[in-house]
Amino acid sequence: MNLRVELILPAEQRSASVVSVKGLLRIAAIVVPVLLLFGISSLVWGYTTLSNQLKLVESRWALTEPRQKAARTLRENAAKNEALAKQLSGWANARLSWGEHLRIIQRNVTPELKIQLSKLSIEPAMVLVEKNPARSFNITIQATAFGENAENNVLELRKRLLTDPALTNYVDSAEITRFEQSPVASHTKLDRLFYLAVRYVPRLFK
Amino acid sequence: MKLPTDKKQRMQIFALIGIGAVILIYVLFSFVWTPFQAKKKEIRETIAQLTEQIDKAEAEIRLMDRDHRANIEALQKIKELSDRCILKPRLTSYLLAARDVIDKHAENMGLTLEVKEGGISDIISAPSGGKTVPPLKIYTAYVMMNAGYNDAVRLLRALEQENELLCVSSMSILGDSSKPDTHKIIFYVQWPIWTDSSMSDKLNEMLKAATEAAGIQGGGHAK
Repeated sequence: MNLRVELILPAEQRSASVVSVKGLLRIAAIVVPVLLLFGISSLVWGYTTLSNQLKLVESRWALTEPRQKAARTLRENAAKNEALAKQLSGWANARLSWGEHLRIIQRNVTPELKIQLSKLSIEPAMVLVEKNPARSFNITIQATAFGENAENNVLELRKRLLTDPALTNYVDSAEITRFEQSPVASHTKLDRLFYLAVRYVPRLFK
Repeated sequence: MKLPTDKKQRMQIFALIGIGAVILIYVLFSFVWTPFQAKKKEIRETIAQLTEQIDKAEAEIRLMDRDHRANIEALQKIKELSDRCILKPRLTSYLLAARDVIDKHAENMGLTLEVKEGGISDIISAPSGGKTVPPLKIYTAYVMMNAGYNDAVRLLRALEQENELLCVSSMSILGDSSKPDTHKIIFYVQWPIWTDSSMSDKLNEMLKAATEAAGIQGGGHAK
């Protein structure tokens, strides 16, 4: 039977460990506040640095913003004026030079066709082509074709107006809308009154 | 300060210190660290946003020279067309101005004609919801004359060559069988006019202001 005799009172007992709890506490009492202080300092320092950066950027922005507004106003004005200049140029594009076109029409009514114009009218219209404003023109030619070849001559005139190189980019269609014996008393039974409707391609204001 | 000799009491003190430390760390983390970090994040984002805005603004500012040039070119073109092609009223009368133009050519060709008022109308345009007033309108005058087909063609060509914005919008040539060389001719002539009749003066001011602004901006090289 073993006998154990405690010669040291519990209050006098010491830890056999190399690291004492008391020692650890003393170290912790210094290290923890230092770490906390360091953490808080770095936090405040970082915050202050960022705040200074922000002030710097804000002051740059305060200088840049009015210039940006001026640049935007300038760009808007330039765009507006360019659009107006384009609109004005569009007027030139939207018109047809009738002095030139009437000359071309006259050139096509050659003497061998034996056609006499009695009325020529140009009718305009303002239309929208894919939401863009455009001018549209229609010509109606009222004329008399004389002789036994009247029908062929009318068809020939129509063909010429459709195929003349000076007109092909402009003329959309040419239709004979009326063809009948001439009602004029002095004309013969072979003479024909006809209406030729020529429709032009709409011309955009741009 | 000495720790109590009693192990139990000592453990209680350690536990209290531990709890105190945890509470302190929690308080510091919740009420100091986290709000500061959030604020720092917010500042970083603001800086990034402002920097991006500044870069974008500087890119826009760099284009100002180009925009000045484009603006001046557009204004010069508008002014040139306005001076040359847009019908301007004589006092308040567009008809007198239109008569001046047509009579000048008719006199040169020895033609007799009458010029009458057709009126002012709007250009048809794509729907804008009524928010913008179109800067241009159309003035129409009509001409009546008895003349040959060739005379009419010559007169129209002269008018159209002088002013590329003038448009003969409608025409009627009616033959007279008793006078084969003379026709009854009516045609309508349209000019663009400024909706704002003081636009010509405003254009001068706008061009002057734009040129000066370009001079200041580009050190006098933008013109």
